[in-house]
Amino acid sequence: MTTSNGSSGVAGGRVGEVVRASTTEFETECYELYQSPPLGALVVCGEETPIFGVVADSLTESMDPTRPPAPRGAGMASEREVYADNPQLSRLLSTRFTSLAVGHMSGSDIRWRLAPNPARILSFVRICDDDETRDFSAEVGFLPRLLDARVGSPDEFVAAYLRRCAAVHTDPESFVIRAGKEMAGMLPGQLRRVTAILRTATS
Amino acid sequence: MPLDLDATASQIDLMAGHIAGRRDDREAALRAVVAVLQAFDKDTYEERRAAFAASQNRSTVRFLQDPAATFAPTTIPTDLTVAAVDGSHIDIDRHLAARCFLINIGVCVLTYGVGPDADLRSAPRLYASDDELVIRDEIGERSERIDGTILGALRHVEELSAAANVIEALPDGRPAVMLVDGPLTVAGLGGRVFPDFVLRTLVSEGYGSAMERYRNATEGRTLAVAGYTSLPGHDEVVRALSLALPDENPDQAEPTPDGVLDREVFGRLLPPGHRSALFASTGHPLEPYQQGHTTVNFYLNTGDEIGRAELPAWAADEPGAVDLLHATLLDQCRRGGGYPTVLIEAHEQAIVNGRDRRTFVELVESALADRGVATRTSEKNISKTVRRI
Amino acid sequence: MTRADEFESLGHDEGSQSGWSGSVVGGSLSEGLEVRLSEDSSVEDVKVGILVTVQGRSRRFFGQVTDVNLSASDRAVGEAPPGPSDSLLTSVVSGTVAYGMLRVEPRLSLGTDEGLEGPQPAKTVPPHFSLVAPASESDIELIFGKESQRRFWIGSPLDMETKLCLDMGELVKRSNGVFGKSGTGKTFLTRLLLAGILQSGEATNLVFDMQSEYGWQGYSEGSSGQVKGLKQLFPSKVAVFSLDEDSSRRRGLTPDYLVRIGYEEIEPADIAILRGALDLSPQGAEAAYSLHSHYGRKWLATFMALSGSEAFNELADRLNINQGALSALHRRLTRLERFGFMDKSAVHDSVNHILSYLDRGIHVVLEFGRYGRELAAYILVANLLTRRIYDRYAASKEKALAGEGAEPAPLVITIEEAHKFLTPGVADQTIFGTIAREMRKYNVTLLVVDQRPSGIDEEVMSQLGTKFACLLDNDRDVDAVLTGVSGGRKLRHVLASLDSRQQALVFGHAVPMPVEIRTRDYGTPESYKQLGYLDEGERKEQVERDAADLFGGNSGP
Repeated sequence: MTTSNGSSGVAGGRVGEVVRASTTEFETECYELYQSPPLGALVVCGEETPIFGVVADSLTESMDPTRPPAPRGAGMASEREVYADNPQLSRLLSTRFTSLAVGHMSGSDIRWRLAPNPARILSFVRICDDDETRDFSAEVGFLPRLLDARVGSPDEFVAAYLRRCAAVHTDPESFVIRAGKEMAGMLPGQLRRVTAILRTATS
Repeated sequence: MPLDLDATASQIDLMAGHIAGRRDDREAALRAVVAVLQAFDKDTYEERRAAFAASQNRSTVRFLQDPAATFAPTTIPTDLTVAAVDGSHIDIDRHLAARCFLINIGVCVLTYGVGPDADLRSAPRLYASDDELVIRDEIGERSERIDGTILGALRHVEELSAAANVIEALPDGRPAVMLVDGPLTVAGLGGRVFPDFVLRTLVSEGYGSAMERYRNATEGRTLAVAGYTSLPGHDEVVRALSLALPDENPDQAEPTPDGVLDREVFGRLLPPGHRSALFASTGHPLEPYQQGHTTVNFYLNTGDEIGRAELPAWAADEPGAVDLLHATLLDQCRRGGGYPTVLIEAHEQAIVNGRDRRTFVELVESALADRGVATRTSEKNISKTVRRI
Repeated sequence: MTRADEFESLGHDEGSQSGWSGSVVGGSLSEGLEVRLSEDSSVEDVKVGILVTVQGRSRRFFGQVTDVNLSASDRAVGEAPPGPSDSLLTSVVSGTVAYGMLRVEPRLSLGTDEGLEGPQPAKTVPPHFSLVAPASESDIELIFGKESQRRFWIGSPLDMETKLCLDMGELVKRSNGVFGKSGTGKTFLTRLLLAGILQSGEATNLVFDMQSEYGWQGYSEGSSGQVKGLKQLFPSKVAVFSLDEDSSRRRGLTPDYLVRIGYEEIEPADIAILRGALDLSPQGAEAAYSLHSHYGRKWLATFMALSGSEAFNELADRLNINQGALSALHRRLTRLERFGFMDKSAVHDSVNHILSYLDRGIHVVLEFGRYGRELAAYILVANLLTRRIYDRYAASKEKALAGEGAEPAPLVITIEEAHKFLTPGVADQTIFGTIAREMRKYNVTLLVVDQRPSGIDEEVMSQLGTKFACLLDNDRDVDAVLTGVSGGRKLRHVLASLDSRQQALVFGHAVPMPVEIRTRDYGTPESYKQLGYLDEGERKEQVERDAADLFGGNSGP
């Protein structure tokens, strides 16, 4: 599997840059307001040692913590009008998302384990395309670690990840069953939880 | 040592008592000025004004319109560009090993209507070379250090210059308004006596060329440039009107009836959203340096307060410029919760907070240390950073 | 070695059994191994009773599935199972959280250095995670041996086509039993065993054929209603004796000998065994001995000739027996007079006749005809003949031990309905009890065929070397069959899961390990052929071929 730079704005396109990184996760600031990848999307960052992450949480807030946003739309007909009427908002708010690291590239091989070092700050981040997502979803052994994460709602983003992976497989149901079996086996005593996740993933 | 709040509180109490005591007197004086305003007779005023100038060798306000008149706002255009500049500086720090100062200019350009957009940026400039730290005369014999008041004036001139840059870069075809925080004219230099070459540099060249650029930029577009002051503390209109007070001796030095301010008078006069008549300040000590670029003013009831706008005198003759400025100020104050949004954002871009100042000092010291230049912070600075018993 | 290679090394044959597998996750030698089915195996493919191979690290184990159960590692499986339409979740949970568990009884093990000796009884267990798979054809041959003169093909393990063979030599070393409720195929199985004994030549058969099933032909619920008996299959090797000539002739059979019992042949001990059948009191049975002492050899005829209460009283006084008991004895014994094979006057030599056949290696089937329905007749004749024959065998054996003469050829005596006369308390007084207890001391063993083993004396049951158990539905019968068997408790499940026809559980001396078999067919032309039967045409051809071989004239390729 080789990673490549795709067109901007859609799967394969660059969405932002890493602004904070640890071994287990990295935070990306988006170029465009509200243009974070969907929950559960597989993203990749870094040119030299690409690191894969699953989008676990997104946040939009004022860039300056001392200047929280104030309501501006009391007399407006729509939310769009609020933004049109206050164009400075797009420059004063930022959208960031947190991805949990799930693997990396070693040469041309995928490794489904944490990279030895965190992502570099200002690494380019983009959404993986269908082929990359399919290749990466060959293994799902890292899912229990995601379910233990303290970011976002693990059950929800794991379900979202499964749903997105299934969509790029020719036999989505087989993929979900395979993933479900692995999770059920790796999470003793948590069948209800696994069941709920799979139901969410297939709903 | 912590402040002795007990001793302070009692003095504050005393002060409050004085203020309260003066309140009734002030109210009476205010009513009197309003009455004069409403009964304003131009001929009478001009007579007294001339006499005052002759006797006191000082000038007072010139009313371009009936000062009692109020003007309702016009409709603001849908497609409009509103811009503002603001500046802040880090003064020369004598405790710092390097002698330098920094001026940071903040810019905000908001595009409304079709294709709404915003451009927020700042540009810091470090003044460190010997030439940058002084103002020299033309021959280069004399120089004046740039610090304190001069630095403040230089900063204002840089703001005006940055505003001109922004205006010139705006695309054609859309009406535009440029605001500067505070008065348009260079303030602060009137109190002390500064060398002539300093005033020429700052006012004639700095202020003057910026104003010229503004005028040139009005070719082919509707453009208004103004300085906006929130909660203005001026009393020149009041002093001017006091000339028309009954039984007042025109030879008296202009009285300020018990500290009544212009904004209080216009607060009584102007309905919300209305502006006052245009008037011009005259006899400013820096007027000779202004290259003929005089200004006119008006007060505005934003709905939340009385603000003051200062614009180039020639703008008063530009069709629609004053109305555009009036409508834009109102709209911006509405958006900004009482103060123009565009100025708020320009200010946010410009401010250098305490942490930034400390970082600046660290950067300077580490850059010098990297090059083997020993930095010796003064004892006072050390004592400020390490507080010991 | 990958799991796939390991599986291959077990000699798994495609198509021989369904391809399930599992791995050992716990258990013990005494309680059996706990085996978890692999994720892709279906629990429905595993039947209780089938033979399995377990590949340990340095030993291979052979065992039998004794139980199948469903397990789950999460309570939620039971508390919140997937709905019937939730196929996705069912697929996820099956094999992972919800899985099949087997209980496997390890019976034999084979080390790498014991290849020549063959599998030995297991004395340890395989380690955790050893691979478990159905036994292959080569495993079956390794354990039970290949078909040969001595090893008779008795049937196939469940779900396999492999021939499972019985060591007839080992079989006839002990007494054996064939059990099962009626209609389960006991008789068919017995026919096969008798044929096997006959073919192997390891012993001669003497069959007390209560319902005329074994001699000429028998009755089948199946296709034609008739199946060939031993005489039809092996005409030159089997003789059919009969107690009821009319019955034999009605069935189109000419018996080789008509058995008759003279009154003088009956001894008091023969009466004692009839206590239950004749409803005799103990005193009555005792009285026979007194009568014999008094009257001598002709005691029975003389006693039966008595009449009148006076005569009885007088006799009673003289012998010091209770008069009532004596009368009762007389009354009961009149039943014997109804038996057509009883002859008051003559002394017959049925025993010698039987022995003369047996000595020549001819197998004898004694048909009882209508007397098969009379328990007293069956017991009387079987017991009487057996006692005499046994005595002769004992004498021959002792002589041979002393160096005089050859040992008598091993004899297997087949008796039916043993629960009616080998009851506790009585059995040990009978010749059958003696034979069972003495093992093959005098080269005589029993083959007990019965549907109520719980009625048979426990000691007799415990002396049976090999048991063939068809379906039994009575707990006490099951207990009786499994008593004294190591690991008997675990075989209960296997026994309970037998089909009602043509399946049996075989365990004991003649098999290295208990095995559930589908008995080979008996009754079809193909099955007869496989037993070596030739119809008339084929026989003629065979004779001609033999003649040609013997006398030449058929040279050629």
